[in-house]
Amino acid sequence: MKKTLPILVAVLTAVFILAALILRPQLNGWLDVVLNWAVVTASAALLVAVATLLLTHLRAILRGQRGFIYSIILISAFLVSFIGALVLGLENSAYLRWVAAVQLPLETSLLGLAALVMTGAALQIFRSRGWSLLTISFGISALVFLVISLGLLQALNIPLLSTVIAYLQRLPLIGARGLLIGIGIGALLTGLRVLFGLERSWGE
Amino acid sequence: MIQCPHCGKDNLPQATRCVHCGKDLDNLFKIEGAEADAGLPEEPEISVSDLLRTFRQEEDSQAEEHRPAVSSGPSAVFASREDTPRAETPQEEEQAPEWLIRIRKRAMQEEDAAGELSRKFNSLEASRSQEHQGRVDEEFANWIARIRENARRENLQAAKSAQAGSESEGGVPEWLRRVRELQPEGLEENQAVQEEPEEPRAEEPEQEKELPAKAEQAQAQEAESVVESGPEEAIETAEPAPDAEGAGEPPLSGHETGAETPPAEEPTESPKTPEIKPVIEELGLASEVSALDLEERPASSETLSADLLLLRKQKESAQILMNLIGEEGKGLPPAKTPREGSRGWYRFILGAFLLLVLIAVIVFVPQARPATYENPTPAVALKDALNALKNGDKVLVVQEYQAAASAEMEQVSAPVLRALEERGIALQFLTTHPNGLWLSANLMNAAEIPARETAYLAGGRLGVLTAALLADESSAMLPEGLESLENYQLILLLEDSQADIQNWIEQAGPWLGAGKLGVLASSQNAALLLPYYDAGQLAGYTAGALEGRVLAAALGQTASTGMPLRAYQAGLLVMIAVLLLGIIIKAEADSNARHQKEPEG
Amino acid sequence: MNPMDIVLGFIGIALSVMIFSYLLGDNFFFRVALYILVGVSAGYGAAVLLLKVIIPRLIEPLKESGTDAFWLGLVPLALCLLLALMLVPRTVRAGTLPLSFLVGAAAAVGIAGISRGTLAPQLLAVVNRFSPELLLENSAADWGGIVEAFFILFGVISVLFYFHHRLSRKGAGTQRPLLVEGISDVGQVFLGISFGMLFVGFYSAALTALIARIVWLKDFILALLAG
Repeated sequence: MKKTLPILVAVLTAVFILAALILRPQLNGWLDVVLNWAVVTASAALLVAVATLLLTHLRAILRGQRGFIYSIILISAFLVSFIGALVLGLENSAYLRWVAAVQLPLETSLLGLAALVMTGAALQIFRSRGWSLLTISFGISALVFLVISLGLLQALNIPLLSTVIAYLQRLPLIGARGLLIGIGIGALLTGLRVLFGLERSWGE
Repeated sequence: MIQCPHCGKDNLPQATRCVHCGKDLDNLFKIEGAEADAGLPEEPEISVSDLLRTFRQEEDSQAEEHRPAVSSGPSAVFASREDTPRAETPQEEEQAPEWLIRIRKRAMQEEDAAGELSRKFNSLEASRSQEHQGRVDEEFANWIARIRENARRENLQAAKSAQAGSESEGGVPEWLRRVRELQPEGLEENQAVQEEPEEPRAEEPEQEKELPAKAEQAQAQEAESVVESGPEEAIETAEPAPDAEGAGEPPLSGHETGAETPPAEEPTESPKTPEIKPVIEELGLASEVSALDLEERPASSETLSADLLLLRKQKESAQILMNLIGEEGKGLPPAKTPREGSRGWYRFILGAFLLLVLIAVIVFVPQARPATYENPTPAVALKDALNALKNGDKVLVVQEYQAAASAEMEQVSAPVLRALEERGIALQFLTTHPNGLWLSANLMNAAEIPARETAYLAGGRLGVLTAALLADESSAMLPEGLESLENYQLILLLEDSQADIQNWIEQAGPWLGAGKLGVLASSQNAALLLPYYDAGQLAGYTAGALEGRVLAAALGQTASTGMPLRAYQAGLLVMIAVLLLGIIIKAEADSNARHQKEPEG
Repeated sequence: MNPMDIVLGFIGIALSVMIFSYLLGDNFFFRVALYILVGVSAGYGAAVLLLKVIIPRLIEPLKESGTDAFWLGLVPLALCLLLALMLVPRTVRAGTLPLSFLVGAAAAVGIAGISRGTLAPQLLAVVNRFSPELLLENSAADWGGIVEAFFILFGVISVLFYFHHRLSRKGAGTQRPLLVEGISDVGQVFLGISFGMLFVGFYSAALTALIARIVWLKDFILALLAG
């Protein structure tokens, strides 16, 4: 029973939502209710995840584990941010400025750092992966799209060149479509596994 | 003594199978002072690799033996020294938990079934500290001492019982009396275990008939296990038993042995062990035992070795459990991957070079004049969709990018929002990310449009589906101020994440009809948006700051000065140079390798 | 510049430098910056969830005792309480039920969304290129369109072939027929082209962020100097 109940719940939920989406007018009201439950539960799950994160770091501090200084920093940052929102309100401009002043430079710098790291990685990519059809086509494609991204060729306004560029820009469509279909089939199968009670992604 | 959970009768502490009812005692891994099961999940997944290995070893040895298991009867005292591998009967397989059966099957089927898990487990083992091992060893040493002490006490009791039992031969079978005559000391312990079964003897005649064969078989198995283990190992780990005086003494029958006589503790410590052989032959088990050269084995080590084999195995199990307990709650350590090592300087030099180039261009190179050219087809389509909007039309601006991409996204979005605002189009802001609340405010500021509230839609794809399905605007499930999505002429997604884009295309798109979704995206999404546009699921999209500039110009807006075009171009040129350099380096390395091979050839 | 802008500006500079210190290797300052980011994001996110979802959609309905909203609100309340029990080590398994409910809901929504929003339209887009309306131009064959339709069909099939081939090769390690290898190779080429564009796209986004940070830094210093 311990193991069958969650499977039953997952299967019944999935079947109900699918049925409601198909028989939409009849079950619309109940579908809204179930989706609302799901949204609220998902939000609560995120809060539990945050609480787990905090508890983990709190334990690290109490045990004096190696690197507990990072845990202190994390919890302090959390408390300032969380209590600030509760006390001042989410729409408080001073509070939002403070959040932006911390998050914006950090996140932007992290993405900027990715550019620097990618430069180093690009030098090694062929050395580490060797020659294959995939790496060769990747290399040529990357070079071509880098050149197109410069915008210099387009600025020449030569009709034939513009046509070639337009054609080249459409070329990734094929691989991207294959990727989307491949990923879609994989995700669909995972969903079907849940529907048939074969997937237990809730930690059992 | 430990109690059988099935029949409630007493068994030896080291017994893994009840000598009375034959069922598993389930305490193979029990360690006094260590609550092995307490902190463990019912099916400890982490240990699977090692357990798997153990099962495989067991099964291998079972395959070699092809011997039925001794599961009940007094002589099971030998079998209870469970080091001797036992063949698994179908019944036992049925009793085994489902997960165990599956693991075994898989282990049989796949040669490398344990590959990944073993690798992780090995790295776990490697990461275990010496201190931890020391603790396990100490625990184990204490445990051995306790077991030995218990065994000694029981043997003493057994001797007394044997003496008492020998006075009445009524219930003693013929085979047992003959064995006693040949090896009295060895059966004293057996007798002790027989005490209880002897009482219901009259009620179990069939079982009684089976006993002789089982007893001898058990002896043979034990002897065989000693051969497998090797005498060196047994001697190495055996501590001299203080009361093992019978080693050099003449055999004494149970009748002759007085209560005061120090009992010969272990049945196989007797030098007369070889004399069992004729009995075994007589009982029809000769063929199975014939392979054993009993005379060559040091008799005194036999029982101890059986114990120690059992203990060694239990020690391994105990270690696995201790590891599991120790690692409870911790993640598996990552599999060791070769570190970059000295090549790290590449990253630093190239990164620093790019940084310097960008700084130099930003500081010293003047701004480029905006070029006028046509955007790619999807961006043109979006421009057309935006131009088709009329005064008073409603546009839902869905802000879903993260702070990291805000610089790029503000470049793309701000001119578009400004253009729409100037044309009197009603803009409503919505976000599905918490950060979107303040990022929207920043965007409105950058676009120089009046600030307005941003609605928050929770629940990710569930929330998007809810919003797409809801026609009732008063529903508490929709954020305040948000209308039914059908009421908007265009839903303009500001995105830097493919997953978020797909949420809208997959969850809202099918319910809204074609041409309602337009996307202003980060350049990283361009490739994967193309198929959706090609399939007619998007009204159009613009990806990246460069296309954003062209779109802004097409909408009659000036592009933001936040991103100098020259610096962007310089960065792209650096990447082109690095990629070419990488290709050249690889080609040169290949050429060198060929040259080195040629002389060898 | 007001004092607050200056303080926040210096915080921004310090945090940026801490992140870029990663170029010298993983170090204390980089980690501190990451932990600050995680802490602030988690705190802000938790506050938003609490104030914008949990209170209005879970707590508020429970105040209206006896109404439909009240009774319907008891179910998510129970689910949330079970989730909360996950925080106690002994009752971790209590969370299985709400999580299985979420998995079921996400699976159903995923199945419907993927099939209607991605698989069907993308497969139809390949097939629809062969529709006579598109391939006939003034009752004459549009050969360009026909070639393109076949090209896309073959390309998509070859990419899917490559996926399948790659998976099965991992499993079996057997040599495939030449035709299968050939189609799979073509798939590799198309995939490589798409990966190339993805790489450039991601690099462009990262480069834009880097440039924006440098520009912001320059503007801040200039503003500071200007007083």
